[in-house]
Amino acid sequence: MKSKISLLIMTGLMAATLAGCRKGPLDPKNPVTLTLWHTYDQQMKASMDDLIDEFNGAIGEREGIIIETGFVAVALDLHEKLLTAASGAPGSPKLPDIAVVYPRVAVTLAEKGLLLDLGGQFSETELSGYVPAFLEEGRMGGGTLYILPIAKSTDVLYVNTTIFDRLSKDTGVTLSQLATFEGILDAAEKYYAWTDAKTPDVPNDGKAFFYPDEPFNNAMIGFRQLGDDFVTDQTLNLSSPAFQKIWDSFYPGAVKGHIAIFDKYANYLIQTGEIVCATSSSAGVTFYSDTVTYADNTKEEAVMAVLPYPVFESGEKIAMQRGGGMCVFKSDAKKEYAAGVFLKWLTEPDQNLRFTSRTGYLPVTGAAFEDLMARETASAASDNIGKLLKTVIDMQREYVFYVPPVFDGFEELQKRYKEELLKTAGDSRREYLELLGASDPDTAYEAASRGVMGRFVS
Amino acid sequence: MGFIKRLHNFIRILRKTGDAGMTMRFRLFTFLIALVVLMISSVVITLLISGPLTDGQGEAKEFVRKELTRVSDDLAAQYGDVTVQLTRLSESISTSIEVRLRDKEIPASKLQAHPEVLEEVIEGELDRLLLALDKTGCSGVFMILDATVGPELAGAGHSRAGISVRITEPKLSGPDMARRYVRGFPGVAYRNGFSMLSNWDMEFDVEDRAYYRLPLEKYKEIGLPLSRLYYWGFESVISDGGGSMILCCVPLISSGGEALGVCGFEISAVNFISDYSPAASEYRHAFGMLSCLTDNGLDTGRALFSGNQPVSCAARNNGPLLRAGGNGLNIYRQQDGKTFVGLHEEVKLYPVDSAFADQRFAVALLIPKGDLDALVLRRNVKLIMICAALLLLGLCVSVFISRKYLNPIMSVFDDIHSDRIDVDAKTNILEIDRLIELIRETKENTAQSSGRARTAEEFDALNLSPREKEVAALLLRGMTMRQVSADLGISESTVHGYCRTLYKRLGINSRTELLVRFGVTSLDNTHMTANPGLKS
Repeated sequence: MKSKISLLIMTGLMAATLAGCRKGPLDPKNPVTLTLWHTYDQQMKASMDDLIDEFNGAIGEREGIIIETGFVAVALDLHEKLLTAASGAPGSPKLPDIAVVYPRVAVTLAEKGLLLDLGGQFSETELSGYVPAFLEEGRMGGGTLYILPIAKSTDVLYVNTTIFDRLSKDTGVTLSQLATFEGILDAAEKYYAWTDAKTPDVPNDGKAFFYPDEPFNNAMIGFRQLGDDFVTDQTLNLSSPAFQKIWDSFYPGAVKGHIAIFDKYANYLIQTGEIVCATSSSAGVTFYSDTVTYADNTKEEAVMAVLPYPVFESGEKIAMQRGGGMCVFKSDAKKEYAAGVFLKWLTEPDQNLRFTSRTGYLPVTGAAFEDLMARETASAASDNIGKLLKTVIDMQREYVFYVPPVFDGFEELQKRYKEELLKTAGDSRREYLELLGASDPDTAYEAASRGVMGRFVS
Repeated sequence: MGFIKRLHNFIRILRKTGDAGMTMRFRLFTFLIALVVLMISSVVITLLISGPLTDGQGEAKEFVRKELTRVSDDLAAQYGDVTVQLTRLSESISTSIEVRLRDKEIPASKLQAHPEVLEEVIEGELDRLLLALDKTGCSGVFMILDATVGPELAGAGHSRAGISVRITEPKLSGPDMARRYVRGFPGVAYRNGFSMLSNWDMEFDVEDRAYYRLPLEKYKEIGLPLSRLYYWGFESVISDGGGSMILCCVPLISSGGEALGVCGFEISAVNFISDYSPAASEYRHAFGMLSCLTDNGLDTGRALFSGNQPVSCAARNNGPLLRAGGNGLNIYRQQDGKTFVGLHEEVKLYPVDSAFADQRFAVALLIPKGDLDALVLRRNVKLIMICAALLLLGLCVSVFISRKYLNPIMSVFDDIHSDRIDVDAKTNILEIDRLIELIRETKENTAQSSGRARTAEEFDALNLSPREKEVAALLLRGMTMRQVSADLGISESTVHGYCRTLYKRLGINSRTELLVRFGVTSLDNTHMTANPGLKS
């Protein structure tokens, strides 16, 4: 009898304890509302919206949490708005509870004491489930976890194989040669000549083959592949011998028309048949259509290939690791706890893979990466996403991922480099085209490019 | 266990009721319970009539009505403004295109014959389109010309050149951060710093697209002015996506009466959510909708939803919401049995003489019925608990009173039944005490007459004289010698003489033995107690 009573008391105590653990500091009858600012646009926003709706309808309802999307913009605009809000200037918006940030902005916010240490919301066991490199990025060189990785991206090479196969058949270029930048330049030169030859009566009207989206990242990764750093002491390392290789991989091809000079996303050029391949973010995969529409509105089905990020010959296999994470702004215990609940749920393998398999981002937990991603590849939202995930799994095994440096002014540096490079290449291209009327291509290039690199570096 | 036993007894008594009548206790208990139930029922009915018990429903009705009025008024005003802006936009674009074509010496009617000018014509109207978009606060603007850049291409019959500019999430991003996405000529996008939509295409497939076909058809058929030709539809100019939308579209008409194409505005689901979500309230699953109105309900397939997204998404995918009566708030049912309560109100998006006046729209605000029922129950749980407690209390009081009140009565009745009635037994209930007295007297009389009959027989057997019999009878009734002498009018010594004869014949020595001999016990004892002199 005594043992039965003891058992009853123990069961009661355990039930009470478990009930207490489950409930947390929230009251489902009076839910807390968290505002989320993020950078996921178009289809990515739809995926994020679906997850938020699912959370609000299930976990949120049970726990008393409502997630509201407050502001959606590209990273640059969102960060500007975050910094304005953080400044507390008159008329500035109210800070959100959760925001997608990149480390360079998180540094500023953390210095102002606005960000919550997420380590307090996650146990060591929970944190050990994340890919360590992604977590390290969120710690920004210190011990405090300010950014929780949500979805990461890297750069890959997108190729329109429908056009490429025709080129390959006529010129002998191969898809495998696109594994190196040198191979791409060779294919680009041949493509220009091949397309130019299609209209013999119109000289020098060949088409560009390639566009590096975007040039600054290309330079940064190229430097790392060649064993150097593009950004040192918060300035560009343009005096390095590696820069000559970077320059040669873009400027000559751009001036001669082999490489596109463009300041927008590469998918625009691929969709309109202006180029055949481009390096670009894996997160942009949904923007690569299966149809190419030419200027006269004729259309062609396009089979896309997604290849690993190219490497300079004799260079190390290094690719960009991009994508922000989510930070939580300090508020009160209830909101901070609620934010932790949401972030844990969002990065559980099921949710994380659903988001990534629809957007082209990479999952952030080891479980999702190792076992589930291969499974998810088969059920990806589109053929292109399936191809991308396969390529990224390969890259995960063979590549080292590079995290860009974090400092104030980095974005400005990036913007200036890109603008200057495109302007320089554009000016030279115009001069080259003018000179072509009176001289042969080599002479015209020689004249158009004379002293340009020196002036650019200085 | 005791309670179960009592309950069992109670049921047994209840079953026997009618066979042998009800016990007084049960009758009293039933009466009290009936009284308690009647009183509590009266309270509940009063609460129901006066309101407190239906408070939750009343508040829900007030909330729904208030929100519906707000949404309906705001929506009618905003969408009315959209149609005004749209007709102005159409007029100004038509005029501008005509002027542009005239400069190129191209008649408006020959636009299709000059595909080389389409990109320039469209880009020329871009500022006008963007300005109108900013004025209305819509999420997109479009202009589609009745021409294509490739008239010789397959499918050219339903491919039309144009431009669609969308501001993704204008409500979320703010005007300074809004990003413009374009479908149309890529050069127009590049030159104006716009991004291209992820589902970009250069032209628009207008095959079987109501927004393009209907306004142009109606114009050609009945030639109404623009203010009677605009068309509202739950669709998007981009047929392969863009999410739920509603658009308003009107023809572009040249001064010569040629239809040049159409222009219009799009309002996205996100925009609708942002503008027309129900106010935050305890009805967490409430949602609003703008939908086509049918004779028996709301068409969820042609609708925009606001408010709780998971619930509204489920409602959208479960077929039409059919009105199924209701008192105060309407009840709406779906084919899977889901039920909502709420109200809807027709909104007039067209003038009565519009070409599309037969299209009816309604705004509605709905709450899952289960939610409202749970809320009303939650609201009234205290009242219900109080009523239940009162009922229980009434039950206990009834048991207590019926016991307490009847115990002395039952005790006396038990005594009467077992011939142990106390002379002083009283219940302090006048009628019952009289009844007890009556029973006691009746019993006494019965005993006396029975005793008298027996004594007379014995007296006869003893050969007593009449006077001796009289004396003996009076003694047996408890009289003293003196009372007997007074009663018979003889001396006390004569009475003593009769007694001696009587005692001798009976073989006894005292009056007490006489009483015992004739079996006079309680009655006589009572007299003896009341008259202690008799003992001697």
